[in-house]
Amino acid sequence: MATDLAEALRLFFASHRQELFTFALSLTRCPMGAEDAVQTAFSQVLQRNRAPRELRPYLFRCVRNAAMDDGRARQRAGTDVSIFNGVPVVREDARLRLEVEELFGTLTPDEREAVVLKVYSGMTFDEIATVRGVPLQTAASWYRRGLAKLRAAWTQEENKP
Amino acid sequence: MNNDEDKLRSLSLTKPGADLDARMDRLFEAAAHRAVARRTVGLGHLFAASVLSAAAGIAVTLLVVRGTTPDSGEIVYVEKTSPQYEPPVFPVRRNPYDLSEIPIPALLDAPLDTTVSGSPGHPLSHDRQGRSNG
Repeated sequence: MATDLAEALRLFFASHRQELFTFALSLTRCPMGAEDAVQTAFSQVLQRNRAPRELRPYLFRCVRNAAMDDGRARQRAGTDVSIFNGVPVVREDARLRLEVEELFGTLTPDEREAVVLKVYSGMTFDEIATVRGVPLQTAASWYRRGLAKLRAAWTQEENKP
Repeated sequence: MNNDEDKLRSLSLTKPGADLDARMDRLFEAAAHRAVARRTVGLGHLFAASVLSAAAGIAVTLLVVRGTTPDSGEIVYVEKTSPQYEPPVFPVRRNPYDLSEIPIPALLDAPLDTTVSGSPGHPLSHDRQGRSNG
Protein backbone atom coordinates (compact mmCIF):
# COMPACT_ATOMS: atom_id res chain seq x y z
CA MET A 1 0.00 0.00 0.00
CA ALA A 2 2.80 2.42 0.89
CA THR A 3 4.65 1.69 -2.34
CA ASP A 4 1.43 2.34 -4.27
CA LEU A 5 1.10 5.72 -2.60
CA ALA A 6 4.72 6.61 -3.34
CA GLU A 7 4.26 5.60 -6.96
CA ALA A 8 1.01 7.56 -7.27
CA LEU A 9 2.67 10.64 -5.82
CA ARG A 10 5.65 10.23 -8.12
CA LEU A 11 3.35 10.13 -11.14
CA PHE A 12 1.37 13.10 -9.85
CA PHE A 13 4.48 15.16 -9.37
CA ALA A 14 5.75 14.28 -12.83
CA SER A 15 2.55 15.53 -14.43
CA HIS A 16 1.90 18.55 -12.20
CA ARG A 17 5.33 19.81 -11.22
CA GLN A 18 4.99 23.15 -13.04
CA GLU A 19 1.54 23.81 -11.59
CA LEU A 20 2.68 22.98 -8.09
CA PHE A 21 5.76 25.13 -8.41
CA THR A 22 3.87 28.07 -9.92
CA PHE A 23 1.32 28.00 -7.13
CA ALA A 24 4.01 27.76 -4.47
CA LEU A 25 6.01 30.58 -6.08
CA SER A 26 2.96 32.83 -6.22
CA LEU A 27 2.84 32.51 -2.43
CA THR A 28 6.51 32.48 -1.47
CA ARG A 29 7.84 34.84 -4.17
CA CYS A 30 11.07 32.85 -3.94
CA PRO A 31 12.04 29.87 -6.16
CA MET A 32 13.94 28.04 -3.41
CA GLY A 33 11.09 28.54 -0.99
CA ALA A 34 8.65 27.26 -3.59
CA GLU A 35 10.74 24.11 -4.14
CA ASP A 36 10.96 23.57 -0.39
CA ALA A 37 7.21 23.94 -0.07
CA VAL A 38 6.54 21.37 -2.77
CA GLN A 39 8.97 18.88 -1.24
CA THR A 40 7.56 19.44 2.25
CA ALA A 41 4.03 18.84 1.03
CA PHE A 42 4.86 15.52 -0.60
CA SER A 43 6.93 14.45 2.39
CA GLN A 44 3.96 15.07 4.68
CA VAL A 45 1.64 13.02 2.50
CA LEU A 46 4.17 10.15 2.35
CA GLN A 47 4.54 10.17 6.12
CA ARG A 48 0.79 10.00 6.41
CA ASN A 49 1.10 6.67 4.58
CA ARG A 50 -2.49 6.87 3.44
CA ALA A 51 -3.78 8.19 0.15
CA PRO A 52 -6.23 11.08 0.59
CA ARG A 53 -9.61 10.86 -1.01
CA GLU A 54 -8.93 13.68 -3.47
CA LEU A 55 -5.24 13.81 -4.15
CA ARG A 56 -4.96 16.99 -6.20
CA PRO A 57 -6.72 19.52 -3.93
CA TYR A 58 -5.16 17.84 -0.87
CA LEU A 59 -1.64 18.16 -2.25
CA PHE A 60 -2.18 21.76 -3.30
CA ARG A 61 -3.49 22.49 0.16
CA CYS A 62 -0.35 20.95 1.68
CA VAL A 63 1.78 23.02 -0.69
CA ARG A 64 -0.12 26.13 0.34
CA ASN A 65 0.39 25.44 4.04
CA ALA A 66 4.09 24.81 3.55
CA ALA A 67 4.44 27.86 1.31
CA MET A 68 2.68 30.12 3.81
CA ASP A 69 5.08 28.98 6.52
CA ASP A 70 8.02 29.57 4.19
CA GLY A 71 6.62 32.84 2.86
CA ARG A 72 6.67 34.37 6.30
CA ALA A 73 10.33 33.50 6.61
CA ARG A 74 11.15 34.70 3.11
CA GLN A 75 9.42 38.03 3.63
CA ARG A 76 11.97 38.74 6.25
CA ALA A 77 14.69 37.95 3.68
CA GLY A 78 13.13 40.34 1.15
CA THR A 79 13.05 38.03 -1.88
CA ASP A 80 10.45 38.85 -4.51
CA VAL A 81 10.35 36.75 -7.67
CA SER A 82 7.37 36.77 -10.02
CA ILE A 83 5.78 33.67 -11.46
CA PHE A 84 6.26 35.21 -14.92
CA ASN A 85 10.05 35.11 -14.96
CA GLY A 86 10.23 32.23 -17.38
CA VAL A 87 12.17 32.30 -20.62
CA PRO A 88 9.61 32.70 -23.44
CA VAL A 89 9.36 29.62 -25.60
CA VAL A 90 7.23 31.38 -28.16
CA ARG A 91 6.97 35.01 -28.92
CA GLU A 92 5.01 36.75 -26.25
CA ASP A 93 3.90 40.26 -25.61
CA ALA A 94 6.50 41.75 -23.31
CA ARG A 95 4.24 44.65 -22.50
CA LEU A 96 1.45 42.30 -21.56
CA ARG A 97 3.79 40.44 -19.28
CA LEU A 98 4.82 43.60 -17.48
CA GLU A 99 1.20 44.65 -17.20
CA VAL A 100 0.13 41.33 -15.75
CA GLU A 101 3.02 41.32 -13.29
CA GLU A 102 2.00 44.75 -12.14
CA LEU A 103 -1.69 43.95 -12.05
CA PHE A 104 -1.18 40.76 -10.10
CA GLY A 105 0.27 42.90 -7.36
CA THR A 106 -2.99 44.87 -7.13
CA LEU A 107 -5.12 41.79 -6.53
CA THR A 108 -5.90 40.65 -3.01
CA PRO A 109 -4.07 37.46 -1.95
CA ASP A 110 -7.32 35.49 -2.20
CA GLU A 111 -8.05 36.76 -5.70
CA ARG A 112 -4.49 36.08 -6.81
CA GLU A 113 -4.55 32.52 -5.48
CA ALA A 114 -7.90 31.82 -7.11
CA VAL A 115 -6.68 33.12 -10.48
CA VAL A 116 -3.43 31.14 -10.30
CA LEU A 117 -5.20 27.93 -9.34
CA LYS A 118 -7.88 28.35 -11.98
CA VAL A 119 -5.71 29.54 -14.86
CA TYR A 120 -2.36 27.82 -14.26
CA SER A 121 -3.43 24.67 -12.37
CA GLY A 122 -6.66 24.05 -14.23
CA MET A 123 -8.63 23.57 -11.03
CA THR A 124 -12.38 23.71 -10.78
CA PHE A 125 -14.05 26.08 -8.34
CA ASP A 126 -14.93 23.07 -6.21
CA GLU A 127 -11.26 22.07 -5.99
CA ILE A 128 -10.20 25.64 -5.28
CA ALA A 129 -12.77 25.77 -2.49
CA THR A 130 -11.33 22.55 -1.07
CA VAL A 131 -7.79 23.89 -1.20
CA ARG A 132 -8.78 27.08 0.58
CA GLY A 133 -11.37 25.55 2.88
CA VAL A 134 -14.09 27.98 1.80
CA PRO A 135 -17.49 27.60 0.14
CA LEU A 136 -17.54 27.15 -3.60
CA GLN A 137 -19.26 30.50 -4.15
CA THR A 138 -16.54 32.30 -2.22
CA ALA A 139 -13.80 30.75 -4.36
CA ALA A 140 -15.73 31.60 -7.53
CA SER A 141 -16.28 35.20 -6.47
CA TRP A 142 -12.57 35.63 -5.68
CA TYR A 143 -11.72 34.41 -9.16
CA ARG A 144 -14.31 36.56 -10.92
CA ARG A 145 -13.27 39.70 -9.03
CA GLY A 146 -9.60 39.05 -9.74
CA LEU A 147 -10.14 38.46 -13.43
CA ALA A 148 -12.45 41.46 -13.66
CA LYS A 149 -9.73 43.70 -12.25
CA LEU A 150 -7.23 42.35 -14.79
CA ARG A 151 -9.69 42.73 -17.65
CA ALA A 152 -10.50 46.27 -16.65
CA ALA A 153 -6.83 47.18 -16.71
CA TRP A 154 -6.30 45.56 -20.13
CA THR A 155 -9.35 47.27 -21.55
CA GLN A 156 -8.13 50.59 -20.26
CA GLU A 157 -4.76 50.04 -21.88
CA GLU A 158 -6.28 48.93 -25.14
CA ASN A 159 -8.52 51.99 -25.26
CA LYS A 160 -5.68 54.41 -24.80
CA PRO A 161 -5.12 56.56 -27.82
CA MET B 1 -13.43 35.18 -19.83
CA ASN B 2 -11.73 32.45 -21.88
CA ASN B 3 -9.83 35.10 -23.80
CA ASP B 4 -8.59 36.53 -20.56
CA GLU B 5 -7.45 33.13 -19.39
CA ASP B 6 -5.75 32.51 -22.72
CA LYS B 7 -3.96 35.80 -22.38
CA LEU B 8 -2.65 34.81 -19.00
CA ARG B 9 -1.65 31.37 -20.24
CA SER B 10 0.31 32.89 -23.10
CA LEU B 11 2.88 34.19 -20.65
CA SER B 12 5.88 32.02 -19.85
CA LEU B 13 6.15 30.93 -16.26
CA THR B 14 9.14 30.66 -13.99
CA LYS B 15 10.40 27.09 -14.19
CA PRO B 16 11.47 24.96 -11.23
CA GLY B 17 15.13 24.07 -11.09
CA ALA B 18 16.59 20.62 -11.81
CA ASP B 19 17.39 20.37 -8.12
CA LEU B 20 13.69 19.97 -7.34
CA ASP B 21 13.46 16.88 -9.53
CA ALA B 22 16.51 15.35 -7.84
CA ARG B 23 15.14 16.07 -4.38
CA MET B 24 11.76 14.60 -5.23
CA ASP B 25 13.36 11.47 -6.73
CA ARG B 26 15.29 10.91 -3.50
CA LEU B 27 12.11 11.47 -1.49
CA PHE B 28 10.14 8.89 -3.45
CA GLU B 29 12.97 6.35 -3.39
CA ALA B 30 13.33 6.71 0.37
CA ALA B 31 9.58 6.23 0.76
CA ALA B 32 9.66 3.11 -1.37
CA HIS B 33 12.57 1.68 0.66
CA ARG B 34 10.72 2.41 3.90
CA ALA B 35 7.68 0.58 2.59
CA VAL B 36 9.76 -2.46 1.67
CA ALA B 37 11.50 -2.41 5.07
CA ARG B 38 8.16 -2.24 6.84
CA ARG B 39 6.95 -5.25 4.87
CA THR B 40 10.15 -7.18 5.65
CA VAL B 41 9.87 -6.44 9.36
CA GLY B 42 6.28 -7.60 9.27
CA LEU B 43 7.30 -10.88 7.65
CA GLY B 44 10.06 -11.31 10.21
CA HIS B 45 7.60 -10.89 13.04
CA LEU B 46 5.30 -13.39 11.40
CA PHE B 47 8.12 -15.91 11.08
CA ALA B 48 9.21 -15.44 14.69
CA ALA B 49 5.64 -15.81 15.91
CA SER B 50 5.20 -19.04 13.96
CA VAL B 51 8.47 -20.46 15.34
CA LEU B 52 7.47 -19.57 18.89
CA SER B 53 4.02 -21.06 18.40
CA ALA B 54 5.52 -24.28 17.10
CA ALA B 55 7.91 -24.45 20.05
CA ALA B 56 5.08 -23.83 22.50
CA GLY B 57 3.00 -26.52 20.84
CA ILE B 58 5.85 -29.01 21.07
CA ALA B 59 6.40 -28.18 24.74
CA VAL B 60 2.73 -28.63 25.57
CA THR B 61 2.65 -31.91 23.69
CA LEU B 62 5.68 -33.19 25.60
CA LEU B 63 4.09 -32.26 28.91
CA VAL B 64 0.87 -34.04 28.06
CA VAL B 65 2.68 -37.14 26.86
CA ARG B 66 4.87 -37.20 29.93
CA GLY B 67 1.90 -36.75 32.18
CA THR B 68 0.25 -39.89 30.88
CA THR B 69 3.23 -42.22 31.25
CA PRO B 70 3.12 -44.87 33.97
CA ASP B 71 5.89 -43.38 36.09
CA SER B 72 3.90 -40.25 36.83
CA GLY B 73 2.14 -41.83 39.79
CA GLU B 74 -1.09 -42.47 38.07
CA ILE B 75 -2.68 -45.81 38.89
CA VAL B 76 -2.19 -48.32 36.09
CA TYR B 77 -4.19 -51.50 36.01
CA VAL B 78 -2.07 -54.65 36.49
CA GLU B 79 -3.37 -58.17 36.40
CA LYS B 80 -3.34 -59.99 39.78
CA THR B 81 -1.43 -62.86 38.23
CA SER B 82 1.28 -60.51 37.03
CA PRO B 83 4.59 -60.48 38.98
CA GLN B 84 4.30 -56.66 39.12
CA TYR B 85 1.05 -56.90 40.99
CA GLU B 86 1.18 -55.55 44.51
CA PRO B 87 -1.90 -55.78 46.63
CA PRO B 88 -3.06 -52.40 47.79
CA VAL B 89 -2.36 -51.43 51.35
CA PHE B 90 -5.18 -49.59 52.94
CA PRO B 91 -4.34 -47.42 55.97
CA VAL B 92 -6.03 -48.26 59.18
CA ARG B 93 -8.63 -45.70 59.85
CA ARG B 94 -9.28 -45.04 63.47
CA ASN B 95 -12.83 -44.56 64.50
CA PRO B 96 -12.87 -41.07 65.96
CA TYR B 97 -15.82 -41.98 68.12
CA ASP B 98 -14.10 -45.01 69.62
CA LEU B 99 -12.97 -44.07 73.10
CA SER B 100 -12.03 -47.64 74.06
CA GLU B 101 -8.32 -46.82 74.04
CA ILE B 102 -8.84 -44.05 76.42
CA PRO B 103 -9.34 -45.36 80.01
CA ILE B 104 -12.33 -43.80 81.66
CA PRO B 105 -10.75 -43.65 85.13
CA ALA B 106 -7.80 -41.75 83.68
CA LEU B 107 -10.22 -39.25 82.34
CA LEU B 108 -11.94 -38.91 85.71
CA ASP B 109 -8.78 -38.89 87.80
CA ALA B 110 -6.76 -36.70 85.50
CA PRO B 111 -5.05 -33.98 87.55
CA LEU B 112 -5.66 -30.44 86.72
CA ASP B 113 -2.72 -29.54 84.55
CA THR B 114 -2.62 -26.14 82.97
CA THR B 115 0.66 -26.69 81.06
CA VAL B 116 -0.73 -28.89 78.36
CA SER B 117 -2.73 -27.70 75.47
CA GLY B 118 -6.35 -28.34 75.62
CA SER B 119 -8.66 -28.11 78.59
CA PRO B 120 -8.09 -30.41 81.62
CA GLY B 121 -9.76 -33.72 81.31
CA HIS B 122 -9.83 -33.42 77.59
CA PRO B 123 -8.79 -36.68 75.90
CA LEU B 124 -6.11 -34.87 73.97
CA SER B 125 -4.32 -33.89 77.10
CA HIS B 126 -3.41 -37.52 77.73
CA ASP B 127 -1.50 -40.02 75.60
CA ARG B 128 -2.88 -43.45 74.81
CA GLN B 129 -1.70 -44.94 78.03
CA GLY B 130 -3.54 -42.36 79.93
CA ARG B 131 -0.46 -40.46 80.90
CA SER B 132 -0.70 -36.80 80.93
CA ASN B 133 1.15 -35.03 78.12
CA GLY B 134 3.27 -32.27 79.46
